[in-house]
Amino acid sequence: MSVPVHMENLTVRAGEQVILDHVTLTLEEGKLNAIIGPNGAGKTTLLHVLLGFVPHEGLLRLDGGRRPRIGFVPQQPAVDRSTPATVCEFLAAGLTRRPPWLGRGKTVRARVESALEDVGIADRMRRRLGDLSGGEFQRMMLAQALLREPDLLLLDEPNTGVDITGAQLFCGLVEKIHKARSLTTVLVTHDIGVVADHAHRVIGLNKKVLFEGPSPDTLTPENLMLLFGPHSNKLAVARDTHHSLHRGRPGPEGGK
Amino acid sequence: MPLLTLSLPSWLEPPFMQRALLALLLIAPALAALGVHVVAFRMAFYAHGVSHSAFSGIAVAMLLSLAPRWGMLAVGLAMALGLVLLSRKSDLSRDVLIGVLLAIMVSFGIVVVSAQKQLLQGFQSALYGDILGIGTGDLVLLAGLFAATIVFESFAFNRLTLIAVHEPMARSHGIHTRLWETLLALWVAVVVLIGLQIIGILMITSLLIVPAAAGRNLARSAAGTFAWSLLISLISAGGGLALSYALDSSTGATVVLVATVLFLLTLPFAPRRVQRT
Repeated sequence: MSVPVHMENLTVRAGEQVILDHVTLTLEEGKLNAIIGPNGAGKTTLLHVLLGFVPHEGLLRLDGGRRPRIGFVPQQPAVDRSTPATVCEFLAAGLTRRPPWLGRGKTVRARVESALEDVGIADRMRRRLGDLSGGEFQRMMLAQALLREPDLLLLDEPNTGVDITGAQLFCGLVEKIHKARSLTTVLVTHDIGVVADHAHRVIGLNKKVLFEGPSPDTLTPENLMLLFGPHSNKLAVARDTHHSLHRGRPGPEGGK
Repeated sequence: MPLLTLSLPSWLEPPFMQRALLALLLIAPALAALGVHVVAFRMAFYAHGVSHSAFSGIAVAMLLSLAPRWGMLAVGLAMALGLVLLSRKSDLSRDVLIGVLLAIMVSFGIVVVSAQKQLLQGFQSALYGDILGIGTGDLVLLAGLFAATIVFESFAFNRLTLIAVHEPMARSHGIHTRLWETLLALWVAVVVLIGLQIIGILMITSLLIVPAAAGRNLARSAAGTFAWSLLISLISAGGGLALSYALDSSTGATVVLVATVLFLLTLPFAPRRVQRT
C-alpha cells in the first residue's frame, strides 16, 4: 500500500526559533517527491515530522486507513558503521527480536537474502557493516527500509558520502523499486541533477515552501535563485552537467 | 573404590576458593555481555562514574545504619537515573555531568568515612573487592543476576544494535529508544554495583570493557563479538583467580590483568578502521 501525505500550516519551533513555518503541502500517492533547499532549510526536520519524532503545530495527515509503516534511510555520516555486526545480522535485527547468538530462523534469513538481492548486494550478506563501501552501505540501508514493507519511503540525503558511481546506482535502484511498488517516496537532497532525472515532483523548501511542481520543469533558474540565492548558478551548471552525462536517458515521466 | 575421582587442583580445594571461582564465573560473563553495548555506546566513563558512587554509598549506609551493599545500590542507582535524566535536560555534555557527579560522590564519601576512622576497613574492601568472603547467599544473588542479564540481552540485543547504528532509524522501526537506552544504563549500574563488591571499585569498569573490546577485535559479527567477549571473561576469571592464589595478589586486579594481556594478544586481529567510500 502507498499513502498520500497532506500537511497544512505545519509549523515546528525549537524554543524561539522557527524551523518550519506554516508548511502546506501534499505529497502525492505513489510519486517520487524530492525536497530541495539550502542547509538549515528544515528538510530533515520535515522528515522527522513525518516519522513522528518532532512535535508540531498544524495538520499532518497520512492517509491509508491505518497507521502507515515508514521506511527510513538516514544520512550516512550520521550512522555509526563501527558497530560489530554483519549485514545479515543488522537486517535481521529489524525483523526479529531473537538475538543472533541464539541462531537465525530460516524465514528471517530468506527475507534478508531476498531484500539484499533486490538492492544488488546479496554477496555482501556476511560482510561487516564497516567493510562495505559507501554505496553498498546505502543500498543495505535501503534494504533495511524496504524490509519494513513501507507505505511511505523517506530518504534523507542518501548520496552524501557516496562516490558518483555509487550515487548513480543508488538513484537508479530507488527509481526501479519505486516503479515496481508505486511507493510514495520523499527524497531530501542537495543534488539538483538527481532531482531532475529521478523525481516526479520537486518542493523547494527554506522554512516555507517556496515552490512546488513537476520535475524537472519546476527547476527554473528563477526558482533556484529564489531558493539558493547567488549559488543557484552553480547548481544550474551542476544540473546541466548531470544531464549531459546521462544524455539519452529518459526522465521519470518519460521525457527530458 | 569410585570409578572416577574428581581431583581438584590444590588452589581450588578450600571451599572459599570454590565459591570465589563460581562467583567470578557468574559475574564476569554478565559484565562482558553488557560490555558489548557499553563499548558500542561509548559508556565506559558512565560505568566508571557509577562504580565510584560506591564511596558515597558506603557513607550513606553508615549514616542510615544500613548494610553497605544496600547503600551502594541505592546511591549508585540514584546516580545512574540522575545522569540519564540530567543528560536529557542539561546543556552540559554527558562527560561533564558524569565528571561533576563523580567528584561529588567520591569527595562526599571520603569526607564522611575519613571522619569515622573505624569505617576505613570497609572502604578498603570496597576498593579492592572481597572475593574470598563470598557466601552461599551471595552466590544465589549472582546466579540470579547472571540469569537476569541473559534474559535482558535476549530482549535488548537486537534493539540496542539498531540504536547503536542510528537512533532515529531505530525509532522508525518502532523501537522506544529512550526506554531501551535507560534500561541499559540502569542494568549496567545494577551489575556494576553488585560486581564491585567482588571485583572492587578500582577494577570493575575494566572487566566491563576489556573482554568486550577484545571480543570486538577477534569477531567479525555481532554473535561472534558476544561469544568471544564471554569466553575471554571466563578465561580471565578462572586464570586470574588461579594466578592470584599463586602470587598471593588481589584477585580483582589479577583477573583484570589477565584480561588486558588477552586484549593485547587480540590486537593484531582487530579489524581495520579504514572505511571505503
